[in-house]
Amino acid sequence: MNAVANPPHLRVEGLTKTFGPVIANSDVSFQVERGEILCLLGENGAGKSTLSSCLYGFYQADKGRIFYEGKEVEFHSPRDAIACGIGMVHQHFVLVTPMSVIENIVLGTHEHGWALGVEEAERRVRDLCGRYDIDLDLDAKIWQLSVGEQQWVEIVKALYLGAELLILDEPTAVLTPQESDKLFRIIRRMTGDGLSIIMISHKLNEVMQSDHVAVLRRGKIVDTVRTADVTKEDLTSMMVGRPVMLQAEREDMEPGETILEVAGLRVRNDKDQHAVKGMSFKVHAHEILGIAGVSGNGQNELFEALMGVRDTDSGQIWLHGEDVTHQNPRQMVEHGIGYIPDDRFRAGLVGSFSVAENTILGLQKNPRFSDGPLLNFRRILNFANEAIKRFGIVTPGPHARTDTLSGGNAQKIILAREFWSASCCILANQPTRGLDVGVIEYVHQMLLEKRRDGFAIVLASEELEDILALSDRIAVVFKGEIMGVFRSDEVDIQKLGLLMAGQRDAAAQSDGKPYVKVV
Amino acid sequence: MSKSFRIEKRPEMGLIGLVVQAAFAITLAFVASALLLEVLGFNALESFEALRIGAIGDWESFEGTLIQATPLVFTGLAAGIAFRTRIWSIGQEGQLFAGAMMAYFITTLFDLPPFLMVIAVILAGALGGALMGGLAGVLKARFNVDVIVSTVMLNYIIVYLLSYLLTSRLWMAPGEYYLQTAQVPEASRLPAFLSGTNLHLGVGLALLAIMIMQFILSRTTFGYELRAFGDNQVAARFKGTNPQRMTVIVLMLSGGLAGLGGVAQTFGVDFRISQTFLFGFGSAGIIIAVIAGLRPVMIGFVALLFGGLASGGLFMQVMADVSSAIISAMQAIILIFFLGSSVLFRYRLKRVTSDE
Repeated sequence: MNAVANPPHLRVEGLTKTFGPVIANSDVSFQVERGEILCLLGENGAGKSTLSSCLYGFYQADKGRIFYEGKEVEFHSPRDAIACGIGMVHQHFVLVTPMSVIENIVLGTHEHGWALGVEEAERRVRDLCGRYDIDLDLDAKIWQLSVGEQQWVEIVKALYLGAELLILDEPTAVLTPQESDKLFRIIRRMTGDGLSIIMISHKLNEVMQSDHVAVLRRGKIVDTVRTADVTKEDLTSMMVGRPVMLQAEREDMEPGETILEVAGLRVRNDKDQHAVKGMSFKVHAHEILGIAGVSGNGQNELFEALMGVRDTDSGQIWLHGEDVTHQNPRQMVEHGIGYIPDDRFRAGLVGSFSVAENTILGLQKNPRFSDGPLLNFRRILNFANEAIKRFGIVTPGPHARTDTLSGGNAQKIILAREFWSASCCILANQPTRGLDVGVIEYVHQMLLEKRRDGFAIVLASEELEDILALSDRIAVVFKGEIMGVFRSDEVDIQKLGLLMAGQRDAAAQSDGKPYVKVV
Repeated sequence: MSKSFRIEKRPEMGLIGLVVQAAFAITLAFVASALLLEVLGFNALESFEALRIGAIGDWESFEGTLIQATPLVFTGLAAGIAFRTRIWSIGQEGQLFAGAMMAYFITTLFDLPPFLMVIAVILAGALGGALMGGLAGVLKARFNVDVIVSTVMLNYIIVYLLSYLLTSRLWMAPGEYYLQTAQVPEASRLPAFLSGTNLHLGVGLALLAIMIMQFILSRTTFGYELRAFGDNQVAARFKGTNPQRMTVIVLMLSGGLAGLGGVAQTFGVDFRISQTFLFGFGSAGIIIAVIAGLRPVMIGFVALLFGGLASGGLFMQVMADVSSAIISAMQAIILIFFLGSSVLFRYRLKRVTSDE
């Protein structure tokens, strides 16, 4: 392909976008050649989402120019971008769940006026799926599909609308390793066909699958590199601005006494269906038990039951040998369990509270922070200042409103509070979701430190590499059941991935070893 | 270089911002009310002058304003504490009735020396309101009955109960023509709060209630838990707050405050209960709480404004022959402008300079 004769598929020149005093993108320039995968890599708040929203016409840039196939274009709305040939697959899908796949694809295309020309559309969609080997049941209702399949619906919909350049926002966030392998196989087939892909990501594994990487930091492009020329470590330090240890070192340690034990736990979700179907496990002192699984397979309900927020249907929970089933959250906190929730601003913090107030959430009646019915502000402030210093919380001060803090700093408030109040056990549900690499490193180190101190730790994560590196043992969950518990030096990502997808037989074959459940 | 203006979101507004916003809304509301008066054929300036004299013309009229504001402070605080917890109780009116009725009921049961009787009446009023609020709380906690629905229905139930007690003549003095109770005994009436004034004890209680509520919210562990629960129920639950218990406690507290408002009005001003005497304090309290941003001290000030409108409105009716119903309209106009301005004040105009 001759670069002089063929202008790049998309070229961005000097794009700047501000929100009030916040500069989201500053003088961003890059280009995508036809048939390549360009990855926009950056931490949270680096400006990836704003940039893609500008490309998709969702926002209008303050300054800068966009060229599509060498021709300058201006998008006033996503409609303009779609007409031009750009499609976007959002991280949160916009599908109508009670309707079928084909209806969702045709919906809103306005091609046939008000009547849906389903036969004609169906033929075209089948062609598309056939060409790229996408396996979709067009008559299935959206709610019947897995999250991975829903993503395919979004992609096919974008292609149906004539997209030649696809923007994928964190496409593998919801996929098992096997599903994401498949995604990249099909994406490669598309690029071979002349389609181009812009992929937004902060996951290094998927970044390595691209052709070029544009690294964003604080709204600016730090560098654009050929993926083949760099390592993950290079990319991380470009993204963070300093070298980062990607995996924390877990020292060998003999597990101690049993601290938390769960037997035959059954828990219902909000829809009154069983989300946890008979889980049993033990966690010992000096031990991290990893819970591997795609989110939504019962992890939240499990943690809520362990914290006493959700009642259990049957089964028992013991802490230090004492039966604590059906105890309320206050009692569980008093037993010395700390909880790090996946959704910080939902389950761990009060947004309108100051940083200082949030550092004692739930501890307000602790004699350290109150005298009888009265809060002791002096001691609360001391504690908050200590926490800010020790955990490196970036905030204007202890009186700043918590909802003005970044996710990482908000998470550090929770860490400070829970690590202070917990005395024997830490439950961490996706503790690093949405956090920057630097903070992730820090959270991991803190968890390992607590392990050294003799805590029992339950760590649920979708990041299999983290689970493998941090956990002593790993329990794989699928649809509310534990598919197996393994010592972390006995499994690999492939096997975990298959079990996460519920494929026990395939997992047994994957490493030639018979499927064994080690508890 | 060209200059233009841009509308953008304003960062968090402080207390000063809220005061400016309230002043802005109230000014506009008076302008709109003036238009309304002119359209109705009255002289707006004359009417407002009468309103001013009636509300704050001299010490005596200011006393009237304070007395009018007293039940509004209680219902305002009642609404404020419930809304702070995101419990949408609109039962203040019914709880005010329940408080007054419970207090009236005990005066029909026994006699006590004046001092003790007043204490008994106050406690009974708080209890009556608290039971009424607690009932809605238990319905919510046990059976998940929507608080808006239950409180509205309870409002009707208590008013109809009063209606029954009157029409069946159980609570009416023999030979009485109007639908109202007999006068309450001398011993139960609220004494002067400051000697040499007309201010009854209820005015002092209202002041005390403002301070106590402010103190509870900002300085106590209970207030902390309440604010946490109000902003994020999920997080509060994870951190040990029992939502059912919190709902019942807050609704009892809220009801108790409203009940005290009923005692203040009945035993400090009217000395008897009738449906019309107590009507409207509940809805006014909700408006006041919303305008005051649910802050106890601000509720005190806004209640004073509304009290002034009510007491000045009577004078305006006499002097300028303007129906005092216009006062209800003005209160609503203030609320509308306040809600409008709170949206408006979320944004600001910014001057921007661009190079091209």
